[in-house]
Amino acid sequence: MNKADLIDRIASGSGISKAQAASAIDTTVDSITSALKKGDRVALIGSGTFSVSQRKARRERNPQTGATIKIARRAARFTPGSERPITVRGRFATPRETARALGVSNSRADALINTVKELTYTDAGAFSRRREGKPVRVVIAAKKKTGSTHAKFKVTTAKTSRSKTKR
Amino acid sequence: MFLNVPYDSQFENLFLAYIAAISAFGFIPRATLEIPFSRRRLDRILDLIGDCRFSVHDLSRVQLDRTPPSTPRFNMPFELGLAVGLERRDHRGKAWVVCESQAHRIEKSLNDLNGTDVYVHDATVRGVFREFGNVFVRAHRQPTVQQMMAIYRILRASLNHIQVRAGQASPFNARVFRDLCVLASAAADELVTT
Repeated sequence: MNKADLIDRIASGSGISKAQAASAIDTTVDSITSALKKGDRVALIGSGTFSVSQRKARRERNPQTGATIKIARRAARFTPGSERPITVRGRFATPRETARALGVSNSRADALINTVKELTYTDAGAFSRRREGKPVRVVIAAKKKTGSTHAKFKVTTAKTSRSKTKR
Repeated sequence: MFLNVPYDSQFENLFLAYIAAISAFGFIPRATLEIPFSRRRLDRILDLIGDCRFSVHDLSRVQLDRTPPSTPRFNMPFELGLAVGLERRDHRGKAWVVCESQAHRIEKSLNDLNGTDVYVHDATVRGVFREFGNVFVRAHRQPTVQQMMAIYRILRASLNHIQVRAGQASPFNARVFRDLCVLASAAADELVTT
C-alpha cells in the first residue's frame, strides 16, 4: 500500500474528500515527526507507541580527511500495542482443584458442586432460594440426558406469586 | 488468576462477573480477600501475585469516595504495580490485564500505562464477559458470553444463601469468595463443554 492507496481508504472510510484525507495524513506524520525530533514518545492506545531509540555510537572514517569519527544515531521506533489475545494452553481447572487451591473442605465443595448439578440437571423450578426475604425461583431448563455436550440451557430468575409467598 | 478489584457494594455485580468469567476460562480466581489483615500481609500479597500466571486489575475506582475523609483507593494501582514489577523481573510467561469502566480515563489517572491496552467494560456485566473474550483465547472449551452469563446468574441466585450461611452481609470476605469460586468452577465445568 502506498500513500495514494491510504488516502483512498481514509477518504472512503471516513466520508471525507481525498484532499482532506491527504491533509490529515500529512498533519499526522508531521506531528509524530516533530514529537520524535524533540525526543518525545507518541503513544496511540490500542495501536502502539512511536519512540526514539539511541543506537550505540559506531566508528566511521571521514573520507575527505581520513579521520576516525564516532557517529551516534537516533532511530525512530514503533512498538506495536499488545492488543492480541492471550492464548491459554493450561488445563481447565476442575471444581475439586479450585476447592483444594482455595482451602475449601471436601464436604463443602461437594455441596456446592451438587447445587450446580441440581441446577443444570433437574427439571424447571426444582431450585429455589430465599433472597432478601422474598422467595425467588431460579428456573433452569432441563438438560436432557442424551449425552449431547451441546445441551441448551436457560437460567431465569422470577419472583413467585403471592400465594406461594404465603406458603 | 489474581483478581484485583475494588471491594465495595456498588461493585458487587462486576465482582461476581469477574469470578464467573475467570472460572469460565478454567482459571482459579485468587484475591487478597483470602489474606487476613496482619503485619505480613504485604509479603503474602506478593506471594499470591507471584504464584498466579495471570492477573486482572480493575482501575474503575479512581475517584474520591463520599465517606469522610474522602480518599482515593490506592490498593488497586499498587497491586498492579507489584504485578508489573514481578512480571518484568521473572519473565516467565506472566501477563497482566488492566480493565476500566470508562474509555480514556486512564490516560489521565495513570498515564504511565500509555501504549498499554486497557480493556473497557463500561461497568456492565456483559462488558466484562466481552472483554475477557477479547483478552483470552482457549484452544478448547472457549466460553461464550451466554455461558459466562449463565454462570453469573447461578452465582447471583446463590449469593444470598452463601452469605447467610457464612454470617456475612457482603461477598467481599474470604469465606463467601471461596464458596463463590467453587460454585463458579462447578458451573463452568457443567456449562462450558466445547
